[in-house]
Amino acid sequence: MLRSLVAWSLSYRLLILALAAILAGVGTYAFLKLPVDAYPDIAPTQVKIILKAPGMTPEEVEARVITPIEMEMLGIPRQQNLRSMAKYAIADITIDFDDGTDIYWARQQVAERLSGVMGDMPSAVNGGLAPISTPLSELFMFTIEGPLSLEDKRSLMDWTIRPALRTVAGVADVNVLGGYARAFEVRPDPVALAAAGLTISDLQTAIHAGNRNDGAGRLTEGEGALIVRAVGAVKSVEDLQEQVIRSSGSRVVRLGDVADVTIGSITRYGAVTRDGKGEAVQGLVIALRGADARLVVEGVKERLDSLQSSLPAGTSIDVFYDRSDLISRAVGTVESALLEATILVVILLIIFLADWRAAAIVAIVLPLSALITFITMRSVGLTANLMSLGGLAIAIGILVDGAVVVVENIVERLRHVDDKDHRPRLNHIFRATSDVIVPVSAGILIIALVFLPLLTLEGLEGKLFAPVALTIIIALLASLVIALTLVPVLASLGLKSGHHAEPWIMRQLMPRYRHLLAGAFARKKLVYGCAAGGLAIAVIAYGAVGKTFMPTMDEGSVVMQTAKLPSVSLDHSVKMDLAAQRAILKNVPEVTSVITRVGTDEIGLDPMGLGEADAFVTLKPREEWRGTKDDIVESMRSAMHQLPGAEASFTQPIEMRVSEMLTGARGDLAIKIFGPDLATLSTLAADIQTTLSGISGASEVMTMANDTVDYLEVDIDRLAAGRAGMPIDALQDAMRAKLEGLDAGMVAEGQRRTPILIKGDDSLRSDPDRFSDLMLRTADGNLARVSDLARVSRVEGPVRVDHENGTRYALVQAFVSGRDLVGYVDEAKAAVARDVPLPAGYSLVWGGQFENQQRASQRLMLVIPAALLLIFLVLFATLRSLRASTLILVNIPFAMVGGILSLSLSGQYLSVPASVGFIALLGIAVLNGLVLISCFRQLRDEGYSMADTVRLGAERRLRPVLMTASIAAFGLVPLLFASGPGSEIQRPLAIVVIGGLVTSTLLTLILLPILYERFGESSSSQADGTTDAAPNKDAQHV
Amino acid sequence: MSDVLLTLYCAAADGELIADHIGEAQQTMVHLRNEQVFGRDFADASPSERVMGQLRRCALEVIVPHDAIAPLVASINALGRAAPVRWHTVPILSAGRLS
Repeated sequence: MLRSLVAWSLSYRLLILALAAILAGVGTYAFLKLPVDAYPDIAPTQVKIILKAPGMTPEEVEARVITPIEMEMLGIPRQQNLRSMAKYAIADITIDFDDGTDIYWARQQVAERLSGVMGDMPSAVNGGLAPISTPLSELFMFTIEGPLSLEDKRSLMDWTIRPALRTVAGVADVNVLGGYARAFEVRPDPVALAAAGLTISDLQTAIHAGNRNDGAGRLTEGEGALIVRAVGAVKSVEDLQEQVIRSSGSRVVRLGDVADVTIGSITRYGAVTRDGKGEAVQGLVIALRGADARLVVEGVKERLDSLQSSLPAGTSIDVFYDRSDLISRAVGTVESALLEATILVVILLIIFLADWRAAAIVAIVLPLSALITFITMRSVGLTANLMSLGGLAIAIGILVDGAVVVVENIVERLRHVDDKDHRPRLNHIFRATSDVIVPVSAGILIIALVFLPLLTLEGLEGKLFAPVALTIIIALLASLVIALTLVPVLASLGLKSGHHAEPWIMRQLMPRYRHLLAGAFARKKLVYGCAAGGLAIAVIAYGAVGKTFMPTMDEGSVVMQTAKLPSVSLDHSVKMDLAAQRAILKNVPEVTSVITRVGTDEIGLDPMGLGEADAFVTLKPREEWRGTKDDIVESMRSAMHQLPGAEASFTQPIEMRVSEMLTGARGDLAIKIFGPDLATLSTLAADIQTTLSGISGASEVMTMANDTVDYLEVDIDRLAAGRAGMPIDALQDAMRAKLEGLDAGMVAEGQRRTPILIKGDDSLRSDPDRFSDLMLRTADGNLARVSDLARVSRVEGPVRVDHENGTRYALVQAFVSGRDLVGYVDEAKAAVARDVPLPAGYSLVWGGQFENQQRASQRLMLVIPAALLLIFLVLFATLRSLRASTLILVNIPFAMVGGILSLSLSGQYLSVPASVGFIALLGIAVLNGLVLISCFRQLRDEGYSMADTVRLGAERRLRPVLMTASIAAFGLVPLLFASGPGSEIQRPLAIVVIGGLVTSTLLTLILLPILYERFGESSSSQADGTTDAAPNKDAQHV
Repeated sequence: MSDVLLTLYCAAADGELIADHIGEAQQTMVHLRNEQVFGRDFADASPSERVMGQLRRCALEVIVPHDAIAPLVASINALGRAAPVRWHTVPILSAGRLS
């Protein structure tokens, strides 16, 4: 079939050239239109329910909100995991579905069940499904700067900027944080209420009833009609004040008589501060899952530009996080590596082939394979990102292998064409190409096969590395098709017949190699000893090399997470954040800006407590830094040490969200302790925290399980409350109205919707004793003190309650630095097993980044042997020789020697990218072995003795072996020296492949001939001068 | 008037067309053979024949009167063919039928 393809291509050369041109055009278009992002879509199908439960404690949220919802949600088909978190006033429930589940189907399942249970929720609970976003959806962050007050900035954000940005294609929502959200506040006077015989509930009912516009129908007037409109909606503070609450004869009680009505704000659950100067209002653009991040950011910027002219004088929008910066730098890193690699490959081709025409023909494979890959990526929905483009960069040196073999064989055949040969030139090219179809396709098939295991990876590693494997496999297959179609056509048009001089490099290398090979044959035991020694050193180095999941990608931004006392007030937390910002800006000159967000955001996607804050730190350009990014982080850590009461940990925007998405926790290591009792969980968490902190490598170990907040517990005395005529729910509502506020409707002001809240006096919120003495009006019309109706005491309670699949758990998180993660976890597991005995009914689950590494290792351990078996079958089908196939596979461990040693010497860890490097190395080593052994077998068939065969064959195949190895290695050199975002992921891979290729090539060229001479054929075959099986005719002309 | 054996070598694709034409023009039988030609001269070859290094030819043989050769060759020349046709004649010295 492939032979026919070559014949057909050469018969229709113009058509092939036209097809190539069309493919190049379509490929360029596909590349330009390809969705671009920094990372592949790594989020599982995840549905989040976020419910706000104003005023409720975590335990109340757990009991009254989360537990009923969990009962309903458990058992949804294709559900993988159900996590819940109860915090003060917020319930956050996350449901992960199996990979591949349609997000809209999943949301529908959740929405159906949620609607069934929402009726059982307390009346104040509101909220629902979070937007269809992923942890990577936070694309763009900005603050409003200018002379406006925080209230006005918030209004501008809520009612002008947010609605405008929400219409941009791909935007799921715009989260608004900070400032004061405008509200009509009704503050009742308890004495006046009592005098008028009114309750809070009366006020709420009256305000609701007196705030409505409506229609009454039509009136006929002659031939026309009049529509009757009844206007009764509240428009202003005055309208509210005039609202009659009760009338008795001619006497009326208006709202203004029993309450102060003012413009205020809804209760704040969080705030934003900037640069130590004060509070700010922040907007955060969240992209829809699957949206093209670059296009969304472009659309948002355009919309903000168009809004700029309509903003109040002096007001501007200050962007402090723009994902498109990271995207362009990350993609730029890979693109420049691709370009540099292409140039290096072309130079090498010219050096090795000594024929610029041949080099140019081979080089065409690179862009064309890449363009065909882009077409395929676009059609299967792959985005251009760090990983998929990285796959191309990895493959660049391998892509030309097929074309190199084809062109080299054509050059060789044309070299021997003389005037007496009257066969058509096209026939020579066809025969030269046909001769190498089997080894070329088998070689490329083998390299594609070695990447197949990556497609079986699961979880985060699967989502990260499947695009790498897919792009490599697609590009390799494209290069094979090009090598068998376009390359012969171009060779027929571009290459000259006749004698070509041996390239300079081969004239230099060949005598030296011949000498080296002769020496090796003379000292076989020394060669065996060196190889065995290398293997032994590699085994030792493997044990010593640290293991980790993934190198950290430098996103260019730093996020500082601060943890304060959980019971800190919002005002004090804001003051501490401002102090931290001032300290950092003063002590770390590389920092240009710090924007800190404390507490819960508007949508509730990131529900933090008042003691938790995320600070986005923007840095000066890299050339203005004094040291590395680690040095900057260390300076920030030192600056934070000067501030008591705040513990800082450092991460990056995407890294932070990815960690949260995977485990619901942040940290390299996340230990979940499952069990029923909160107190026991807290004790265990504290013990484990202490144990982990004592292990070397732990930079930050934290748990919130033993954090407590102070509660003022109002334990209602049923008898006292009943005697005073105060129902329990009325007492609870009255207390909530004093502090949190009670919803009393909405005022429509044009497009704005401003809530009406019944609230207590502000001074009451800062005086717990006064709250205990608070006078409330009972249903009987009497006044009663809170402390008369209930026992008021101070107690401690949990900050949050976490659930997984319906069971409570406590979380301990650890960040590891300066040490490999797996080593730390191994030591930690042993220490925890020794020092922290678990009571019956309690269990531990070790997760976090480490979990991904373990899962990836286990999967690769299973799949790589299967891939090796497949490779062996391909080799056997190609060579029809068990011995030859086995000898090629024997080459593999020696190839790994250089990879392990280079990894060890460079100080890099064995991570998933490094494993991908080993996989690529395996493919190239097998290919080189196949090239050499095919030649040996051909020479044996031609009647050479075994001794001559191995020497002559090794010399003949020196050029292709050196070419494939050096092109593959030099193709990765740009990744070795790249410094942009993403280079951290590619570097270990490049180190492994380059280091491995050095030993692999040496051993292929020296050890393999010796091994083939000794083990290549059975002794009887050697005596007969024949190979041990019928040779495959096509495989003999490599 | 003496008869001659006219042999035409044409592209395999043209074989049936030319055979039909001769059959109609001369009302006689035509012998048609498929041949592989490993020739040295590829001037008549199609690109695919050059690629494969062999010409897939058709040989047509017909016995016709000598003076019919010129008009017959002219009429074949006028046919819409895919490739050039080579031809030659040899005299029929004797002929017969054995039953």
